[in-house]
Formats: sequence, C-alpha cells, structure tokens
Amino acid sequence: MLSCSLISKLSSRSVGQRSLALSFCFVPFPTTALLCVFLFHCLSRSFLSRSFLSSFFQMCFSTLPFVPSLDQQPLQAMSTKARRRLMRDFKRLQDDPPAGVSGAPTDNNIMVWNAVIFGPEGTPFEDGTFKLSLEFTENYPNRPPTVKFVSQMFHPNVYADGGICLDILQNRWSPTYDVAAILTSIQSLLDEPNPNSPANSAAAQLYQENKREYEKKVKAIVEASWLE
Amino acid sequence: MASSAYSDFDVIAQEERVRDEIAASSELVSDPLPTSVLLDEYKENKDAFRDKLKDVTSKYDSFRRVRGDGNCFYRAFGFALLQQILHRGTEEQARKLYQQAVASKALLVAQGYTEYTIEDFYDSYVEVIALATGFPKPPAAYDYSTGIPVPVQQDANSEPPKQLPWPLTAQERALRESNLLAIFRDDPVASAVVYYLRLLTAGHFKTNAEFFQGFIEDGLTVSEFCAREVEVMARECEQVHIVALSAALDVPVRVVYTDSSDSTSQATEINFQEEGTAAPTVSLLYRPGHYDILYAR
Repeated sequence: MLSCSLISKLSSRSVGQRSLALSFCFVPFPTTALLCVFLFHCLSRSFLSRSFLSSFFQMCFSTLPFVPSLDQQPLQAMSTKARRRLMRDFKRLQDDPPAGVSGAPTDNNIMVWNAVIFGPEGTPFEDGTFKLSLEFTENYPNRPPTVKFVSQMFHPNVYADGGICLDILQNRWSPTYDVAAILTSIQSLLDEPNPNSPANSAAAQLYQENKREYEKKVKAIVEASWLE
Repeated sequence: MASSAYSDFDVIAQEERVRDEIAASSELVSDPLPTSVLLDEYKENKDAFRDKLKDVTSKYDSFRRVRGDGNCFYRAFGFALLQQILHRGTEEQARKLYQQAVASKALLVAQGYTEYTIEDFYDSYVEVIALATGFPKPPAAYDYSTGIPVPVQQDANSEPPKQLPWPLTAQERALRESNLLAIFRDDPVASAVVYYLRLLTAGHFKTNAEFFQGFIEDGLTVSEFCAREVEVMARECEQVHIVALSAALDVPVRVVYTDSSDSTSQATEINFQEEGTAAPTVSLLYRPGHYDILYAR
C-alpha cells in the first residue's frame, strides 16, 4: 500500500515538473533520490515501523523540493559563479549521492537549500532523519554557507537555534568543499563531537560525564525527528 | 560548565569586520611607490629594522603594496611573476608557464581534487596566464548557457593555441599589464587566481609528500597540513609554502627579509630556487607577517 502511494505520488510529481522547460533534466531526481534514501533505510533497518514510514514520507514530501524552478529566475541571475557552482553541487549530489545524506535547492531559490541527514548506523543518532537548511551568498564558494539544523538537535556542538559549530564551516572552510562534503562532515560530527568547544554545554557535560543519560536525550530527538 | 558569552559566530563576525576594514583601507595591489616611502613610514624607528629598510632602498627603487589579508604572499608572487614574464620573459619561459597552467588541472584532479570544485579557479588562473604569455584563453570546459552545466566536446583535430609573436610590442604589453592589474584588483576574480595558486602549492606538497613530511609539525599528514594551512583562504604562509609554490611553478623567487633583530644592519636575501638555476627575477619584501612586491634599481 505504502509503496504504491509512493510511486503514484512520485509519478504525478514528475509529470508536473516536465512542463518546466529548463528543468526537465532533473525529473529523475525525485525518483532516484527518494529511492536511494528508501533503499538506504531498508538496508539499515530490518524492520520498518509503520509510524516511521509515514512520517518519513511526510518529511520527504514536505521538505524536499524536488526541482529548482529555473524558469522562475532570470537567466542572467542564474549565471553568477556562485549559482553556476551550486547547480554543479546539485548535479553531483544527484549523480553520485553520498550515503545517508540528501539535499536540494528550494523551489524558487537556488541560494537556499534543504537537506536531510540520516543518523549514522551504530550511533545513538541511528534512524534519525534530521532536516537542515543551507543558505548561500554570492560569495560561495569563497565563503561557506550558513548551515542550521531545522530539526530539534541535542549535540555538544549545535546551538539552541540549530547553528553548528564545525571548523570547516568557519575558520577552516576551503572553497574546494561542496554541499556533499558539508553534509557528510556534519553527519560524521554527529557521533564525533568536540566537547571542548561546546555550543550546548548541557549536552557536552552529559556526553563527558553521563553517556547513558546523553544517549537517552539523543534517542528522544531521534524519535522527535520522525514526527516532524 | 559555564557557557561562554561569545559564540563562534561572534568571533567570526568580528573577524569579518576586521577583514572588511582592511579591505576598505587598502587596495589588493597598489600602484608602484618609491621605496623611500617605507623609510618615511618608519621615521620613528631607530633600530636595526630601519637600517635594513635603508639597505632595501639602496637596491630596490620601487615597490607595490599588497593587501595584508593573509593571502599577500600568493597575491604578490602571482602578480610580480606575470608582470615579469610579460615584460622580460623569454618566449620559452612564457610558453612553459602557459602549458604548465593548462596541464595543472589534470594534475590536481590526480591528487584527489574534485574537478568541478576547482574548475572556476582554474578558469580565472588560465585567463591571467594567457594574458601574460600572449596565448589565447583556452575554451571553457563547460557550457552554462541554459543554466545547466554541459561538458563542451573538445575537437581533437583543432589546432594547438598559437602564441602571439614574442616579445609582444610595447603597446600590447602596456595594455595587457593594465588588464592584469585590473583583474588582480577585482575581487571575485582576484581571489580565484590567488586560490588557484594555493591549490598549486597544495598539489606540489601532495605530489612530493615524502619530501615535505619532514617539515610538517604537530604530527599532521601532508594532506591534513594542506587542508589546514594551504587550502584555506587568508591562512598565512611560511617558508615551506614558498619553497613549494616556487617549485610547483618552477620559478625562482627572492625574498628580502627585514626585521628588528640587530645581529646585522643588512636585509637578509633568500633565493628560493633549485641549485644551478638562474638568479630569481621576482623579488618580494618581507616585513614581519607581510609580503610586498619589490622592483630592483
């Protein structure tokens, strides 16, 4: 039942997008990306709970934008270096998606992206589906984007407003990083926090002094991530 | 554990403000100035530093200021080199620099860089190299006319690019020099050129990792060192970076060191070059923490 509704939703979405002359190249994206995401989860879980699946679909359809509507933007604005580079970041994410992360520009603005990071297997964050937003400026890739967790997060290096304390997004940013590199770095930060420069001191303290309680709090935000 | 009053974001915002202030108060590359300006600048200094500057003014009559934004070595070296090739380079030197630039992207990709993430920097770099060496700019590898990147098929039978008759006419050189200066002062492109010089430096470190490992401290691997100290904009360089970039481009460079240590009243000149090669034709002035371009009398 569920997979049927998934396919029908996808195909109606794809047909709708085909009318956008400039974006027809991206039609396979929703299908392939979602299938990857779906397969990733099938592989990482032996059993998929009903509530998890439904919240998962809800999340995909409500946040993943599928296709940037290129025809809504003047072509001239598309051709700045930052925008051209973001198109290539997007193409790379489609053609060669890293495991457990996914992202795409929002419907009408290539400078603002939504992304999802899956909690790495074998960590307290396992099974979490964490949403993030990425905001780029015309200085990209000379300057990093502003990246924030939209989903609730409990982590020593994540501020209350979702802001992330990660060196490569700040003083160690390199213009050779792309969106795929950013998302995979954040994914590895989840299980490799740096408690010495805490953005959330409660999380840092629990991480160092009471792992059991720390994992309990993390489990709570993992479950919360399914319901968003 | 008390949470600190300043978040990383405050620190970064502060750093950005300082950077913007520096940007507002200094050009990326200045017009040439007489070196006597330096003596006036340090009128109050009565120490060995001023003696060393006096020594510099006796050998070099002018200099260009380069913005002190952490990229000054790369920017100074890049501009001084291109200007030198344009005006005094031999046909062979110019051709070598051009061919090396065109071949460099594939070498960096072989070192593990993702091609499309270095493409824009490469394009800006070959543009200035073509200007200085009398070659046409190579065609772009991707077509963005529809907004979507499409690889451009290169015609295998097309003629190799032709260099203009060398040396270029005085008029042509003057025009090209002003174009070069305009590009080096135009920030998005200027930063891209500087960044590509960083990538060439990092590429040379990685290609010769065994040699450079001995110079790297803190137990870092060559790759980690590059990610921290070379591939990051505004990260200042040390002598080992100069060795690497000079070797990567196969261009010797002279650095004239001035500081206030009073063991000598003369500026120390160090030539970064392979043994047995001709003396450097590019000279840079080092004052603690900063590089500018020097022109010999």
